[in-house]
Amino acid sequence: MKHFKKALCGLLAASMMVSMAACGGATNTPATTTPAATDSTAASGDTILRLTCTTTPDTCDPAKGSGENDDNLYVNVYEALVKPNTADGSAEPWLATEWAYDEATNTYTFQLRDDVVFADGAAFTAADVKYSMDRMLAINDGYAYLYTNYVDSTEVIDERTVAFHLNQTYGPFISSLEKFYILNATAMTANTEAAGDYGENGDYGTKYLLNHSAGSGAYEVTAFEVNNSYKLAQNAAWWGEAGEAAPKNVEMMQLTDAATSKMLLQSGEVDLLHGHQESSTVASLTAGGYQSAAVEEYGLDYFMINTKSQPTDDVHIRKAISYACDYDAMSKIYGGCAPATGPIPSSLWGYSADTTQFTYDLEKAKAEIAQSAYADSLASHPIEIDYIQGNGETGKLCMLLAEALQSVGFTVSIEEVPWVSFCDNETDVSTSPNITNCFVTASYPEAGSLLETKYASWTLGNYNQNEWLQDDALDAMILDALSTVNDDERSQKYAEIQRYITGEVVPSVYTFVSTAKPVWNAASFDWCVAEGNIRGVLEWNFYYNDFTMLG
Amino acid sequence: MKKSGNMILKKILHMVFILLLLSLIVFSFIRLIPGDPVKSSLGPLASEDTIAQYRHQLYFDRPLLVQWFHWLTGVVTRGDFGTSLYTHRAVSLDIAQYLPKSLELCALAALLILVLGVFFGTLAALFKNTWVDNLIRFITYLGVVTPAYAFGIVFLLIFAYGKGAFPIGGFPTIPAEFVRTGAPALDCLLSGQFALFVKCMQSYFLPCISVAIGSIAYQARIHRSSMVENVNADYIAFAEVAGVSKGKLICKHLMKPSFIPTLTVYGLQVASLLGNAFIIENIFRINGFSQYALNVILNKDPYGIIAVTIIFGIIFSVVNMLVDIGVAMLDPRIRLRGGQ
Repeated sequence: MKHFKKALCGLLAASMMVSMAACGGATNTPATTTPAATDSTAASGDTILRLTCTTTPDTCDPAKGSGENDDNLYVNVYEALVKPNTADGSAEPWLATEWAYDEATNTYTFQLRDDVVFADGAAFTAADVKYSMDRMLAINDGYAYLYTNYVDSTEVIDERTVAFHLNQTYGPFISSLEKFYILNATAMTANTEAAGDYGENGDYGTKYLLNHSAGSGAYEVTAFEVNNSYKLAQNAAWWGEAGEAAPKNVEMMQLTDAATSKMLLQSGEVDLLHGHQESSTVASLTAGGYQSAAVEEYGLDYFMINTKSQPTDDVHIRKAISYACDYDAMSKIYGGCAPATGPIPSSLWGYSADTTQFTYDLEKAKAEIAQSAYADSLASHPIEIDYIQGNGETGKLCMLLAEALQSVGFTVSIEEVPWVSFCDNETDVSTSPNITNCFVTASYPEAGSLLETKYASWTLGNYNQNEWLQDDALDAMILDALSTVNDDERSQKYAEIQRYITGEVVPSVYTFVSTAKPVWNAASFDWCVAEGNIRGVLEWNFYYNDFTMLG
Repeated sequence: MKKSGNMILKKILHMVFILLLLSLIVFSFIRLIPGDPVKSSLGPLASEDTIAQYRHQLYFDRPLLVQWFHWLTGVVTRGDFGTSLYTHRAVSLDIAQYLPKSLELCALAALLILVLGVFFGTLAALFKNTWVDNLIRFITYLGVVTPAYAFGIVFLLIFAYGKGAFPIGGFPTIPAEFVRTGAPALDCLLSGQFALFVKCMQSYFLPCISVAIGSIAYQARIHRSSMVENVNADYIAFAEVAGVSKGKLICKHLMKPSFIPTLTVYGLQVASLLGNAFIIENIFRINGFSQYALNVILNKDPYGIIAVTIIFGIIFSVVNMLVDIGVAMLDPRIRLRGGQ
């Protein structure tokens, strides 16, 4: 018994010593040293760019996704007829060389490049454009909403010419085509399963695109694990000019834990943290020598005010809320984002500076309350502010606004709501809170995209709209602007809408421009974002062919 | 033997009945959750036609029992758990992708819980009220009160980031030709890729310890108490007087009866591992079933939630059945009663 006990005791002591030795002083302190170039070379000798993001796409299918994470993949793997100019977002030729609009027939005709091939070597033709548009409309998901109400049919005129016949005029049609990615019809047809939801088109290749790509972009998907990671490799058959030191391979991994992301960057296992990083993360990493930049996007942070519930149904109350918002402090909370000056970010085509501007002024807020129908009954009309769970910085914005509102007499409660519940609440006016905070970005680089998404009655019932305006006059103005083909006229109509919204209705508070804060190891690669010469145009700042790998 | 067989058969039938009932209850509850999962899944700009079409396709526009029966037929005849609104593909594919890694993680953690829990419990009991017992008591209290994610982050910081002894989460890339089950370490072993196997085990080490440490501590406490209780029993005194060797006394006469409460608690601990691993999976970049379960719940994905519930139910039932069998093997009285 004694020997047995001694043996056990010895085992315990040994295990303790091993544990203590392992816990001894760390040998590696990368956070306080200058970051070194990471080992960005694969076994094959090819360079690899490694990134993390909070969410990866569900599928490689460009007819399915419509989020930032989807766009990040699409711009590298697929190509569209036009692409946004990185300076102002306006459309410039890409797979199309030129286009013409016939007003009489309401038809857009595109001439296509003759030197484009898909990743499998198949030549790009007008048939691929028709296949892709027919497929997108049939699946009716992702960005299809940009075309379903407008595109009547697609016609192949010849191998290099394709025409879109519209059923009503659509001013931003060319801009919207930046989201229309062309698929390799031959490869898709070969990989279509007969059984599916699309009649004679079977599954329309949706299963194939769950983990394959079929595009003509600079990269192609080599591995795809849903909600986890994907890998891209340079498309050897690409018709364009591959960047001299562009990464040969790209690995994107999904990671929501900020601490792990940070450690991976510091240990050299990843090169770049994609998307918006919290201010504390940015501060600690930049102090350790890592680089970060504020990349402005085509969107804003909105406090969306429910115009159908008490007391925010009174325009004076909404104006009071606008005056109670400390815009500078809110911008600082998000790391110094550019202030918003209206419902549209200044970088977006169609923006107008001629809007009613609100500044932080609690006296003016009190004056507006005094003019409202609720001046004597504020206490009996509490205000609820909701924000999306997990975003601590947004919570701080809500607390700041709540504190100011309470100081002028409101009773305010703040709710941190899970994303799905946040969306569910917005499906009905009775469950929508008085105020929500959310970022909304444009689907295509034009004011009409945000105005339609934010304020049109036909896009009601989702998280983009807590305002519940249902304003017939505004609906007519938005429809009129969207159907105006002439750019100057359309721009003027957008400006008129912005004046009307900020001056008459005041349905939202516009805090600051949506800004991503990626952090990266500058020793690993050169990135044009570092030079501040690119805007976050619909994920085009993550066009990997423009990256220059170092070392 | 026949009685043991009867006991197992009864338990299997009982398990099937429970799982059927569970699926029906979950179906009913999902209908009560506010909001429209189909609309949430299709996004804010989906048309009413698309929503209606998808709802019909998923049987959401049929009565509850019809929907449940349709689902059950799919599961039983084709192994089809329906389509996930979260991943937009067959739930069975999701299960095949996410479950093996988590099962492997939990199996390794379960092994650690058993070995280390019993080891520390035995040590504490044999050195009752000495510094060894006190030290183990302190450590086990620390293990019980500290949440797994705290251990996860600290271990990651010290051993992976600081020492560089382990990877900062994730797994080595397993070449497609070696993937058989989806469980990385097992696949490497089956393919004879021992170098990769070692790397996989390195990847598993910290998450396993992190997820298991609370249960190891709890198990050690239970085992200590059980052994301390038995060490004072009359039959131990008789065995000592009868001259039974110390080693045999501990391993056979003391350990065997002490194992009954240990094993019962162990079953519960192991069965709950899978459900509790989601934060550890997140921290260590294991794209596993616990994270998937959390995501389908947060996204109100009906077929995903049902599948996750059933899988958890199956694992819970099977583990408990194995524990019952184990306990019956240790104690013939239970075995005899169970067969009746």
